[in-house]
This record gives sequence, C-alpha cells and structure tokens, in this order.
Amino acid sequence: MYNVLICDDEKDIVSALKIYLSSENYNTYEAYTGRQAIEIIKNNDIHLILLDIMMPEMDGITAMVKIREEYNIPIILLTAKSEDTDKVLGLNIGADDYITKPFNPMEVLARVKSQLRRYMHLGGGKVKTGRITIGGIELDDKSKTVTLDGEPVSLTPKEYEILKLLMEHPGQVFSPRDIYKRVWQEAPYGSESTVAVHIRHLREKLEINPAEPRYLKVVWGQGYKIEQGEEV
Amino acid sequence: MNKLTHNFAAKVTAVLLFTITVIMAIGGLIGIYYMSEHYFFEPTVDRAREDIFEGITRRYANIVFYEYFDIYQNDDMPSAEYIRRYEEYFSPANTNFLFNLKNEKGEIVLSNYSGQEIQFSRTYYYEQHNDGGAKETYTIECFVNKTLSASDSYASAEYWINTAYSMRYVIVAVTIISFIACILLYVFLMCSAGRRTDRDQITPNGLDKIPFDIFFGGVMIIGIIVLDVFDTLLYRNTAETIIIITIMAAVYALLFLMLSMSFATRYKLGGWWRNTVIYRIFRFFYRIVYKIFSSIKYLLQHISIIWKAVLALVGLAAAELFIILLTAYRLEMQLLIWFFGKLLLVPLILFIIIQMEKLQTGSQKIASGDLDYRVDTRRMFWEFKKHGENLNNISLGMSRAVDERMKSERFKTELITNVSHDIKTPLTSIINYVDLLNREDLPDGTIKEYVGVLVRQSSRLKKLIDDLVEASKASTGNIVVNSTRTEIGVLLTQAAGEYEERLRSNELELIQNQPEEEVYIMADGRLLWRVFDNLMNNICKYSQPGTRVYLDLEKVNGEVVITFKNISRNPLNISSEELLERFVRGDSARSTEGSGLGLSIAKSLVELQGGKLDLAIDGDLFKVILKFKTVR
Repeated sequence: MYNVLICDDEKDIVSALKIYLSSENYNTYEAYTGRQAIEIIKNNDIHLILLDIMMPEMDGITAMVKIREEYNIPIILLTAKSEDTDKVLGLNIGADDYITKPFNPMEVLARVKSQLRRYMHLGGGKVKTGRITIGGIELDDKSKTVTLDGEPVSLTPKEYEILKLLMEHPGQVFSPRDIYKRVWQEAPYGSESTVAVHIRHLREKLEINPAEPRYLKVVWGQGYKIEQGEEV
Repeated sequence: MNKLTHNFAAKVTAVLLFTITVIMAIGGLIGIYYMSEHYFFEPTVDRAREDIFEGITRRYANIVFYEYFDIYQNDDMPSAEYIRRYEEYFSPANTNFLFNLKNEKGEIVLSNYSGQEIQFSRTYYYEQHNDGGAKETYTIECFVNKTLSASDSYASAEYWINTAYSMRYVIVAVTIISFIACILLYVFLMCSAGRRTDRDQITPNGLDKIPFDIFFGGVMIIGIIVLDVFDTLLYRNTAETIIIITIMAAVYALLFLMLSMSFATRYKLGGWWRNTVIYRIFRFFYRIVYKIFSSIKYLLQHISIIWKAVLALVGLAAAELFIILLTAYRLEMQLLIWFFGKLLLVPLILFIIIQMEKLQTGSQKIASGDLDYRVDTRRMFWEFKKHGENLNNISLGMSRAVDERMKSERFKTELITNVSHDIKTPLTSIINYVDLLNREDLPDGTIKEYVGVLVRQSSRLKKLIDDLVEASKASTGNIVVNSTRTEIGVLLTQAAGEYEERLRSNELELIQNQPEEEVYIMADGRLLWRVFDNLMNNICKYSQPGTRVYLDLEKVNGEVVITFKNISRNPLNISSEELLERFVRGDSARSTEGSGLGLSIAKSLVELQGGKLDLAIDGDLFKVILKFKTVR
C-alpha cells in the first residue's frame, strides 16, 4: 500500500485520478492548492506526488521547490502547458516526470508505477560488476538480461545488442549505419531501416510513451542515443 | 536701484544732476585746457603770470601804437575830449601799464613812464608806412608797475591768476569727479530708460516713435554744427565764450542723453532697428523681391515635369542658336564652345542616369519584398528626390502594415494557445470519466455504442486542439527553429523504421529510393520529423490497402527533392490547393479521424526551415514533393 498525493485545483480531475489509483490499490490523499499539499506531506507518509502546475494560492512550481527542500519523494507534474520550456523548467527544478493534459489514464498509472518501483526498490542504486544502469534500465551482461524499474524486459538478441551499444556510450549519437555495422557486423547496403525498426521496438518495450521517450532518444537526421534519464 | 529706475522723480533728478555734472565736467575741462595752455601747472605761478601779462601787455601796446597814429599823426585832429580820454586812460593812476613809444631815430614820442618800480618789461616793434610810402620802425618799451596800484586788467588778472593757481588741483579733482558722476548717472539713466512707476514692462515714450536713424542723424548734424561753433569760439578766450560753450555743451549733452535713452528703450524692447527709415526701405524692397521670387518658384513648382523639360530644352536650343549666331565665321570659337558645352552636359546626363539607376534598384528591392530597403535621397535632386521619397514612403507603409499583421498574427497564436490551454483542463476530465464509464460493466447495445462514440470523439478533440496550436504557431513562425546540418537519408530511414509496423498493418509496402552518397541539408531534425510524421500518418490513413508507397530521395541541381507517393483509397476529387488549406480533408465524408491540419502544418514547418512543399494529384496517385537546398 503506497500513499499517493494528488494535487490539482480541478476537483473532477482529482476524483478521476483517485478512482484509477484506488483501483490499483494505492492509498490516495487529495489537495487542491500547493499549500494544502505541503501540509499533507508534513503530516503523512507520502510516497509519490502528482502535482498540477497552475493552481491558486501556491502554484505547483513553488510548492515543488518547498517540498524538495526536505523530501526526496518522486514528483510527477501534471500540466496543461505542453511547451518544451515548461517541461525543461519543471524537470530542472526537481520533478521526476511530467504528464501533459489531457492525459491518458493508463499512462498516468504506468508512470506512477515506474516512479514508485524505482523509489522504493532501487533507491540505493547499488553498482554491481558487469552491469550498466541508466535511469531505471539495468543491463546485466552476464545473464544477458535487462530490467526496467526492477521488472524484467524480454528483448531479442539484436535489440539487446543495440541497447548494450547505446548504454555503453551514454549521450553518444550513433547513426543507423554505425549501429548496423557494429551489431550485424556487416556492410549495411540499404538495410539501415532495419535498425530504425529495431529501435522502434526497443522504445515500445522500454518507454511508457514511445512518442516521448525518456531514455532512448531519436536525434532526427543523425541517429540514436541513450540518456541518463531526464531527472538528472 | 530697481525701484529707483522706476521712479519718475529720481529720473528727473538724475537728468538735472547729469546736466550739472556735464556743465561742470566740460567747464572744468576747458578751464584745465586754458590753464595748461598758460603754464598753470608749472612749479611756480610766475610763468603763468608772465604768460598772461604778456597777452595783456601786447593788447595795451597795440592800443597805444594805433591810437598814437589816430590821434597825433592824423591830419584831421580828433576832438579834445577824445584826446583827454585817451590820456586819462593811460595815466599811471588808471593803469599799471607803462610805456615809452620811440620813433626810428630812438626819440621818445609818447610816454607815461616816469621811473616807477616795475616788475615786467617787453619791447615790441611796429612798422608803419609814412606819407611818402617808406617804412618806419617804431619801438614800444612796455613795463608793468610793480605795485599794481591801479585797478585795471593787470590787477584783476593778478587776482584771478592767484586764485586759479591755488585752486588748480581742486579744479582737476572736481572735473574728474564730475566726469565719473556724469558716467554713473548716464548708466543709471540708461537702466531706467523706458521704465515707469506703475508698469513692469518697458514702455516707449514719444521720442521712441521717431525713426531711429533720423533721430540719430539729427543729433549728429547738430553735433557737427556745435563742434564747428566751438572751433570758432575757442580762439576767443573770453569768459562769455566759455559760458556759451559750456551751455551749448550741456544742451547737447542733454540731447545726446535723450538719444541714448531712446536707444536703450528700443534695445530693451528688442529689434531697435525696426523703427528706422533704412530698415523700412530695405524691408519694402525685400518684400517685392521675395514676392517676385516666390511667384516664380510657385510657377516652376506647378507646371508639369513635361513643361519643365520643354522649357529647359527650348532654353538650351535658344542658347545654342545664340552662340552660333554670335560666333558665325569663327569655327575655332564654335568648336571650343561646343566642347565646353558637352563637357558640362555629359556629367549632368550621367548624374541623372545615376539617380534613375538608384531609384530602379530601390524599387526592385521593394518589389522583391525587401521592405527595409531605403533609397538614399540625400544626394538626389528635383523630381528624383521626390520619387525616391515616395518609394521610401511606400516601403515604410508596407513594412508598417506587415509589422501590424505580424503583431495580430502573434496575438492570434497567443489567443489560440491560451484558449486551448483552458479547453484542455475540462477535456482532461471528460476523457478520464468517459474512460471510467467505458470500464464499467456496461450492458451490450446502445449504451456501449454511445460510450464508444464518446471515447473516439474526445480523443479526436484532444488531437484537434494540439494540431490547432501547432498549426497556428507554424503558420505564424512562432516556433524556434534550430537548424543544423542534417543527413536527410538518415531521417528518411528513421521515419521509415518508425512507420514500418503501421504500414504493414495497413497492408502497404514501402519502397525507398535514395542515393548512395550522403545528402545534407540545413534543417531542424525535430521539426522535419514532425513533417514526415504528418505525411506518413496521412499515407497510412488514406492509402488503398495492398498498394505500394514510394519514398524517393533525389539530388537535383543542388537541391534535394523528397517525394512521397501513394495511391488514395478514395477518389481525390479535390484540387491540391484546396487540400493545403486548413481543415480541408481528402475524404469529404470526414469519416476518418484527423483534424485536416496535417498538410497545412507540414507546409508551414517546411517553409520555416527554408524548404518548399508541393502537392501533385494524378488520378488516384497522390504525391507530396519536398524541396530543400543541399549543403556540404
């Protein structure tokens, strides 16, 4: 039983989220302003916060700054602002993830689950030999297994090789041709689109929303790369 | 002082004092002049006395000599009474003047000297023609009685000499003081000129209405006359002349004071030259000349440029004809004039052509959309300058209109963004509750069907809002474009990979044709992906299942041409222009989901990155052609 705080000035949205989270056996707390949210966090053992940005009295960004002064709880921003700059601001100030309105309830649940798993189980970030960890993805080269937020992900051998290549060089952009040469170990001759297809599959397996990936990023017109996750 | 300058009594007093001081100063000056002429500033009084006594003595001597001839050498003897008076006048009881008149032989012919003690002696010689016409020389030995017992010119002179001598420095001091006082009073009166007790502003009086040059000229002429009179009077150094001179000088000083005060008043009022005859005459002529010139100017300005040109050409032709006639039979002269004429004409024509060229460049720039271009009219003349300024005004007006337009577009975008933001919040609730409703254990049939519609339409509404915001931003250029060197082949491969599954599920086969070499363009990869995403999305939605989709990349003349080809599922009875408009969709029934903004957004985004997007429809074949400039 995890305690999730839902904070939004729109009561209907709070109730809807409450229904979803309750159905997944989460214990929910409700707040309608930033101030209320801070009060609840002080008096209860909260494990995760869903926080709206635009609220009366105290907005989400201010509330988040206050919360971050004392707590390390995962915070997912709910926002109708879909501007890139707003997202970057939110993540830089201390949010772990964001969801833009209007959101898909399933996506909210998936992101909540992912954040909670990482916060509760993998918070220590223990480093084991032969393992590469980037954000919630952990790759064990000995057993050739990959886990996402502690849960195993089944990958094909080529997908595994591609992921390993990218995770070994975080931040580095590989063109489809490079990836083909390194993974298939032969000249591409127009087969680069195979790489693109594999990457697409990888994203579907590793990302909650493949169109807006957190880890496996597409650099359009150049190639692909993996990043340490946006909460950095 | 300020109060005093306004006080009438003070002014009158000052004028009076001024007159007195002027009299004193002038009198003093004349006195000092006389005194210095007569050696009064020597260490002792003797020299002055000697000088003055000499003058008196000579006068007496003259009288003695000429009276002697009148009385004693005259054939008509004057009356006894006359002789008695003469002898009485020169008796030692009545005069201190003593003399011996001697003829050529040295015999004393007349004398009143009888051995008295004397203090001064002079001898004068006179020449006299006798009856025979021969010259005779007479000698007068003159003496002055030491005691000055008689009260005559010598006695009074002695008195005045002593008084003046003892007073000489007092007179100098008084003169200087009078001078200083006179200047101070003059300054004070200048300050007070035009001031009145009850008024703050400068008020002119009657004198100030006289034209200044006439006033000034009058005073100057009077001055010249006065100086002339002085000149003649100064040689007669009698007491009366001194008084007359002093009075005249005082009166003239008053006159000059009036002139000065009048000038001061006029100066304080400003434009002192306005009330002068000369100024009025000049102004009169200036006005006439100005009117003539302005009417010529008006005429020149208001005849059309054609008439101006005709006038100029006729003038030129007339001048040429005149020169030819003037220099007839003198070929070398004609040639010289022809040469210099062309030397003048050629630069003029070139100058005109340069101006025309500048105007043409300007109009071309403005026509091609460079609204910030301004024709440099600083060195232009005549009609060219006017034309250049008109062009500048056109471009200014146009760029203002464009700015205005941009502002309103930006405002529109902002409005759309804000409104969509407000719509999103209730939409979130709708989507969520519809989803919740959908999860309920609904009985099959109509309710389930209705909820299905709600799910579909609410998600469509969401897409529509996102597209709307993006379309308005893209079409107004409100998107930050980070252009980098992008390999277009890679992007195409990536897009193909992204859509591989969807294409397959729609039974479509993708065929890619791209050159071996790497082709680079300057583009923002993320924005270009959105273009490809929209286009691929359309292909998946509208293609006839079981057909092939072609994605071609070609390099043509430094341009890269990307062509998307697919076969439409529905007949395309719509023009490509219409398809590019917002909210227009290929299927008129609008049965499929979509906002109708996809192509419009794609086109805007391509144009933002400096590319071009064209559509081509050939029966059921639908082509989208993208063109970008390649870079190395």
